[in-house]
Amino acid sequence: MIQLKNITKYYKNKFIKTFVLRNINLEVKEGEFISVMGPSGSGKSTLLNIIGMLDAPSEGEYNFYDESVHKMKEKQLTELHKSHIGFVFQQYHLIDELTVFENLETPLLYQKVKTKERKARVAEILDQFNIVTKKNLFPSQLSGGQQQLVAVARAIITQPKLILADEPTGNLHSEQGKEIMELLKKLNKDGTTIIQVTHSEENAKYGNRIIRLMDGWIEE
Amino acid sequence: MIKNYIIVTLRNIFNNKIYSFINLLGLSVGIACTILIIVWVRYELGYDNFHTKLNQIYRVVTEYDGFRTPTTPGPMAAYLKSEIPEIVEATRFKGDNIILQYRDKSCKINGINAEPMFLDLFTFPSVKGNPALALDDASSIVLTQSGAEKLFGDEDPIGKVVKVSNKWTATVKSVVEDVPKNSSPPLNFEYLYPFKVYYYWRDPDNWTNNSDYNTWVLLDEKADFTEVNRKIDELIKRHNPDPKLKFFVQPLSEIHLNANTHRWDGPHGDINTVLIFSFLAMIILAIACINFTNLATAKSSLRSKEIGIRKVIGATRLQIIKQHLGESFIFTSLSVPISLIMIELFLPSFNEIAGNIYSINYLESWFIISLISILIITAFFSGLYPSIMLSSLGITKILQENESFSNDRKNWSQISFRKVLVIFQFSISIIVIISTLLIFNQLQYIFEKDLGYDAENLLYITTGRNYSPEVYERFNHEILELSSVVSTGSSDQIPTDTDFVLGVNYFHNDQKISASSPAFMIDENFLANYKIELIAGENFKPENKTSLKESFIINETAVREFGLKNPIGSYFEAYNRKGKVIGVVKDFHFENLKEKIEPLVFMYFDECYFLNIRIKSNNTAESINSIKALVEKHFPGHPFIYSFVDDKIEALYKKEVRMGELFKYFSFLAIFISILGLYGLVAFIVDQKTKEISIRKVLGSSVSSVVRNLISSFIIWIVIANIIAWPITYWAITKWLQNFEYKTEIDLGVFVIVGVIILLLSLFTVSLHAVKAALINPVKNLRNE
Repeated sequence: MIQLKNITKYYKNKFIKTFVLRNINLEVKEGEFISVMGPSGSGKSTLLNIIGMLDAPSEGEYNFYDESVHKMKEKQLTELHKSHIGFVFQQYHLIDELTVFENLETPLLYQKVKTKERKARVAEILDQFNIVTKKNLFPSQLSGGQQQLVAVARAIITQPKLILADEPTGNLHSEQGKEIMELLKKLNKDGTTIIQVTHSEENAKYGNRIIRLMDGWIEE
Repeated sequence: MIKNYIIVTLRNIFNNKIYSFINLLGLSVGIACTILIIVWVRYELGYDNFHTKLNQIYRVVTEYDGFRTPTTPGPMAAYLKSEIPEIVEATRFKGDNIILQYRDKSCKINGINAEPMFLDLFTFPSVKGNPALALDDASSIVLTQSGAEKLFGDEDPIGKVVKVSNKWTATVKSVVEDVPKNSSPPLNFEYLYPFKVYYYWRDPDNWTNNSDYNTWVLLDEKADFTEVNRKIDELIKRHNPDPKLKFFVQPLSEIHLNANTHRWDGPHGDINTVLIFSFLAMIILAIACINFTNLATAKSSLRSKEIGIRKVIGATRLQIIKQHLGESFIFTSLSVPISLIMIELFLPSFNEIAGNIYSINYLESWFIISLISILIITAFFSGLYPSIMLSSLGITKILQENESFSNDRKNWSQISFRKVLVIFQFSISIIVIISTLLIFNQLQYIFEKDLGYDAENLLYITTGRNYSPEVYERFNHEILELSSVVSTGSSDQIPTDTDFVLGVNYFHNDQKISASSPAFMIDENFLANYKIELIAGENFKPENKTSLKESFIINETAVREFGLKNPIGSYFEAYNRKGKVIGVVKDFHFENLKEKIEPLVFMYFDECYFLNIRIKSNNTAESINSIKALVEKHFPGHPFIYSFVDDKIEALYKKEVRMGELFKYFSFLAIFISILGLYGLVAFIVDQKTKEISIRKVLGSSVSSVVRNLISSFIIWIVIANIIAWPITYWAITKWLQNFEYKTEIDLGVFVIVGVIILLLSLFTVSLHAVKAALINPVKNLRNE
């Protein structure tokens, strides 16, 4: 599914190149649940962003389902990532001005899903996540766990093949965190590929492979 | 999708009340202003449009030695029509005023003596009777509806016999619709009187005796008027080879805004004023758009998270651009109803300043079209930059570095872009404010300038026409007996309003020289009554009846320009009178101060068109009443018409005063919207710096330096705005002052004062927030992060 070859990422600042990722080679198969671990600043999030097509590598090749991502234009990238990839962030990143219902609806709007189907899918996912009663509330009216629940719901509403989660439980207390992890595990069981960045060994165990990053290198 | 955008926009509007208020207020003021100006410009451009043959109608202009007048000799019309095939119709007419009397009612009305063809050229629809037939019959008269109403009220005017200027009788044979308000002055009338009556006393078919007829022609639809002008030139050269003399035709459509004549053309518009005001409207709208742009970019840190999320969940850059353009569209749309309310509120005062009654029909297509165009243009220009800038923000940057990307390069370019816009706003405001003050300086100068005569407490009345000299004498005598009257003097015209220009002849170095000069017909009391100083020779002496018509009094400029070394006693001839100069008066401004003082000739007459009366300053109303009683006694049935000379002087500068008034409002709006924008902008910047200030406070360093930085950076913007504005204003005002022959020095102090006031005003605005920043509680702000 995902193939990274010699991916390198650096930031140029006048004379100095600051490396974030160096020579990353990685293969992800469909149905895997991968945990990326490493200390702060080791390049975990950058790797996730490159896989998620939000950021471009400075060097190297990236193939997604045998398509060369590194050669694509912005428009194609947006097309590819919005149909195949869902994101979950540590800070939830819901749109504050929209209600739960509207937040869930927005990705479908960008995919130009018809009104009737859109409403049905939002209703379905509200039901599945048990948050029907919250649908008219704004993010600020929800607890952190509830917000992250909505964020996960939003990530999967487009039925992506891949979910990228950047410390999804980082801002939650353990009980809520556990709930989210169970949810991700269940999604993985149903066939969704998941890559998560985490600090917690315990959460990493939910996955079936761990990749450790150190100063931009993969430690095998 | 659109619904989603609208929801976000509306919720943002409610969540950021100051921001929304500033934008809505600025945009609606800008739109309201623009619409009012469009209404005005449209009216100005629509002058004379009601003539169905507008594009074929031309008038003949005479140019002699560069001096252009819209008048010609009487036979010109018929001659041109017979000689030039492109001219399909031609007519002559002459504007006049008469006193109409019907039973015990009378009124003075302005009108035109016209031929029947007049109505073939111009579109003045008839209400009753056939006006063309009436103009063919010297015993009839045509009135407009309101002209008829003045005399007859609700009665049917047709068939009524009226007395004209106490001399002739005429039957009302036809009534035509009122002349539209936007008709150029030469074509304004309340009555049409047959041109034929001139044959009784004027000999209008004579080429040389009078050249004060208006000649208008109708060109063939396909005719090229430059070709017609070439033919006219050729034709005239055959008869009069004087290279200084030229005749040419000028399109009716140009007369209102581009008349380009020197005399006898009535008040008309000015294309430059139309351009200046159109430009000002755009500027006000631009200032409002800049507020939107500046606040939207300043607010970007608040919106960036939403944009990042939208990109993550699948929005393309184009969709983000569309969303934000849509947002400015929504903002502008919300401003439209507010601006319509403002227009309704301000239209009466606008009408007062503009000196006209404009009304707006909100359902007319031109209005709807301009409103929609303004809406689209405003929304596009205010939203363009913010949407491009916001859509360019990188996702990862926004979502990960939770910091407000303060050291980013892009951020710097935004700040400098905003800086440029703020400087632009303030430069414009400063330009408009200084200009306003300098315009008023000049107006004050004009109104206070010593004109060479005393216009205060001086009024003039129109007396009845065609009475015997004894009646005038008795009347004058009784006026002088009134306790409130100081002195009197009669004349055929009033300073400020001279339209009598003569050909004069004099000797210079033993050579007879011809020139032209304005002239006044006066009695022996006129000069003393006006307090015009006689500096050499003597006044007219009515005792020597024989020599009176051989005497001339001239002004200093005439002495100088005609090169008369010993003016008193030198030979002079004018108006078919031959004689000598008996006196010289000190120069006085008998025209407006835009013109240089010209040579002037006084001649004696014993009739009395206008009686100038100097009254005592106390109890004006009572003086007028007693004068009125005497007018009614001596000229029964004659309307009592009086004006004060100083009002008349003021009326000369109506256009300039109006311009000054409008500038006053514009400058207020410009600075108001700019300060509003500055307030909003500083609010956001302080908001963004809250964390920086808090950290500095925690670290124990001085907050005042942060505040000082903030204030000084804004002050530099305002100083730059001043530096840009000053030379532009100086240039523009110098240009405007060139309209005046007599003008003030440009007062540089005004520049400094305005600069300082604007500086203080913005300093105050910035300080409001700076103080807030200084009072920040660091604990609270850092916990928020």
